[in-house]
Amino acid sequence: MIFEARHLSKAFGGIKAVDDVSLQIEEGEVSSIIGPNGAGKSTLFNLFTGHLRPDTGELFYKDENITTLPPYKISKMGIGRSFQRVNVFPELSVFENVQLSLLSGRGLGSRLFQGAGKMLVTETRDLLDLVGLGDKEGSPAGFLSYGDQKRLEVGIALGGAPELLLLDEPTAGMSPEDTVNFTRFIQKLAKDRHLTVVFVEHDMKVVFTISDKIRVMDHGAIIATGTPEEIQANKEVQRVYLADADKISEEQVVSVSPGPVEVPEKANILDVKEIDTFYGLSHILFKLSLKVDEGEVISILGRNGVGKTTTLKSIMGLTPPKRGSIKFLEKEIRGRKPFHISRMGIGFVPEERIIFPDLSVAENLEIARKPPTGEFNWTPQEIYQIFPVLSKRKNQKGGTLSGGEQQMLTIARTLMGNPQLLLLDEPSEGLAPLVVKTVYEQLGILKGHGMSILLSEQNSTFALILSDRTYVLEKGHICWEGEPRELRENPEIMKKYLGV
Amino acid sequence: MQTAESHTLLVRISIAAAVVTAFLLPLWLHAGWISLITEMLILSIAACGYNLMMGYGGMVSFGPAGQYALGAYTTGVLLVKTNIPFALAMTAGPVCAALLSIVIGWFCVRRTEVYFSLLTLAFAQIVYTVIQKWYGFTGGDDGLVGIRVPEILSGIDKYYFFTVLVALFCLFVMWKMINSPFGKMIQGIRENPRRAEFISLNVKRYQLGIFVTSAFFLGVAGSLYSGFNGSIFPANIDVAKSTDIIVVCLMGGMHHFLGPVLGSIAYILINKIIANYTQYWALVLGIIIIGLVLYAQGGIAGFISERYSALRREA
Repeated sequence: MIFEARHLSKAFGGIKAVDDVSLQIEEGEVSSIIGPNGAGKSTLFNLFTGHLRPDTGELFYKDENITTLPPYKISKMGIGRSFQRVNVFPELSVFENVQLSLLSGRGLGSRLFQGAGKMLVTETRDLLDLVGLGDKEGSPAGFLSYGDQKRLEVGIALGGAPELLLLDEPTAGMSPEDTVNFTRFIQKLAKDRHLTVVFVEHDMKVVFTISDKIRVMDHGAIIATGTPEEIQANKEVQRVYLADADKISEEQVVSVSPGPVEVPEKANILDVKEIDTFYGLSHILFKLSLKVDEGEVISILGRNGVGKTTTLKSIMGLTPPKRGSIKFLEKEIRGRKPFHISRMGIGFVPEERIIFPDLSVAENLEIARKPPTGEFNWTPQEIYQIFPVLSKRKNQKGGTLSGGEQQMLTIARTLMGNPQLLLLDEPSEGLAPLVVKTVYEQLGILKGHGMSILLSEQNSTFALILSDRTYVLEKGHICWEGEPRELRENPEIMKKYLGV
Repeated sequence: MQTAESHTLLVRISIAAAVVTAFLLPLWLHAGWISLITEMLILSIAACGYNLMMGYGGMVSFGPAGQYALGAYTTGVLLVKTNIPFALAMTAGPVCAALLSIVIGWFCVRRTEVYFSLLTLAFAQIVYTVIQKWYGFTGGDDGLVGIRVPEILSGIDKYYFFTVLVALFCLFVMWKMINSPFGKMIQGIRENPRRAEFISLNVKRYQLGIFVTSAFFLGVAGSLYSGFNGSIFPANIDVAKSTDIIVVCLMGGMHHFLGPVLGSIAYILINKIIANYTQYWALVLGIIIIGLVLYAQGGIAGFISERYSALRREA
């Protein structure tokens, strides 16, 4: 046994995030913790690594009591972790990010007069190759795509040569193909280096493929522990968590998607024509064109790093395109500032969500309220009707919400600005299957209200159900466009560009 | 690869040329200018030392004058009141600044961001007040006068050479430090303290380390200034001195190693030139600072390196 938690509890403002959790982790074991958003999984990790102090209970690593140790000491003892929200050193190069961790892990961090440039170069490169970032070592970590930053995080965690590795949603934001590769990589790594791995994950394929043992959490408590087979057969687990997205039946599809709204004459709402966008010197989008008509839901699909986020940010003016034209309601908006574009009626829900953590849910909504730009004029009451869970959390601080609730709050907050077009960047990222379904149902309701939506996704299942038309992106080009039905009937494209 | 090598070569040649020129300057320039350049060098050491903490560590102190004062007055008091050798008094300045800063820093790094800044400001004010009021020891408002300098360094040219040597040594040591593992850790902590903690870094201890290092070099500058000026007054080490040092870093560019050096040169030149025309030189300086912060955040060094890399790209 390498790690043990005894009767661990932690409450935030009266709500028990972790409730009397006891567990033992065997050496060399690959195990996972699953459960709906808000079950307390990340809190549990934060307790393990000293980022939070438990209210009661004790923690042992290799028979040593680590309950009250600060994070740096726990890390030094051989526990490595990656974080749920990306956590790299943004302005340092990819190489330096990993080198830093290696140097520190080997206790060389306090060397004063040795040139760091030539230290542990081979080790750093090996580790970068291992996580698949060998060709990107020179670029600043902040410039990497989301999925690559996740890989880099694992690289940083491995730099400390940990014996116990805690991974918090490592594959969130990765394409299905990347996820498979990554899963194999972790499996191999655990074997080769005799690592003990514990991960929190929502992708059930990953969980069932590589776990020796699965623990299921709900409302802060562990409700089941067992092998993948045992967990799959467990009725209680089925109920709280495992509504498998891949097995969605036709009726559910219909219940989610109200179908195209009948608008007599569909007016064009957004017309993007041949835009070229750059990040510094690198060319990201190449003559990209797309259209959204009133009341339509359009999805942009593609793997990690093909330019989905950049497309949305280009429309929003956050990464202004150098050439081309973007027309919103027939007015040219290319070159305008983001606040101006937002005021004209485009609402953006970023992948990072960025809620105001110290404001309550109600305040988060109130602060975003703007006069209507078109036909919509949402009141908080109407919004609570669409997102009932937010109404229950009205007075809770934004920062204490679970991932799924934060996603809903971000969408809700954007709606308070009464946009006529909603841009959503990876709304399903990092959410449990059931929560993804809920969020998409809520988007379906919005569609029913006649809201025009443009969303990007890597996980195509729900996006394909909800959207009227789809664009598939590859290396900054649109390589396919059409109706979702055609795409589903075209497994070659699905495989080639989406890795499904 | 070719271009990278030629780039390093170019940098080395420019540095060598600058060093040689520095030693030859007294042949061409009269004493007034040499004295001005000495001042620039002393300010450079202070600003580079301060920039270790601000630019590399991301810790914005509002009170660098406090550490500068500790160096200046330790050296000054020793040279006025005792007979200890000059070299010893010169070393005692920075050492004393560093030692006292272990205590000051121990409190300051307990807080981050604006709270950190306010603590440093408070400590600098404490140092200032003690110096200004303790007539018996520091001379109070009357200052310390008659700071003796040995024969071998008396005369502006000689003191200038001494300052060049000390400045070169300090810059070399600082350059080594920021490129060492320690320097990298500091930059990592600036970028993401939470992540840094979980690659086994005792963040507070590293921050204290850079605080004390920074204090040491600020102390060096203070000690040099005592010897250079021959006297020292509270007005040399008040809040305005802190502002000078911070502005020099911003002006020169805090994300480049030599930025503060460029900043010092520009700052003293502007001061000198404008003072010839108007007594409201601070007004002009204020406008320049506003312009820099709004339109050239990288400072002078940032501006130059942008132009330079644009040139390299074209070539």
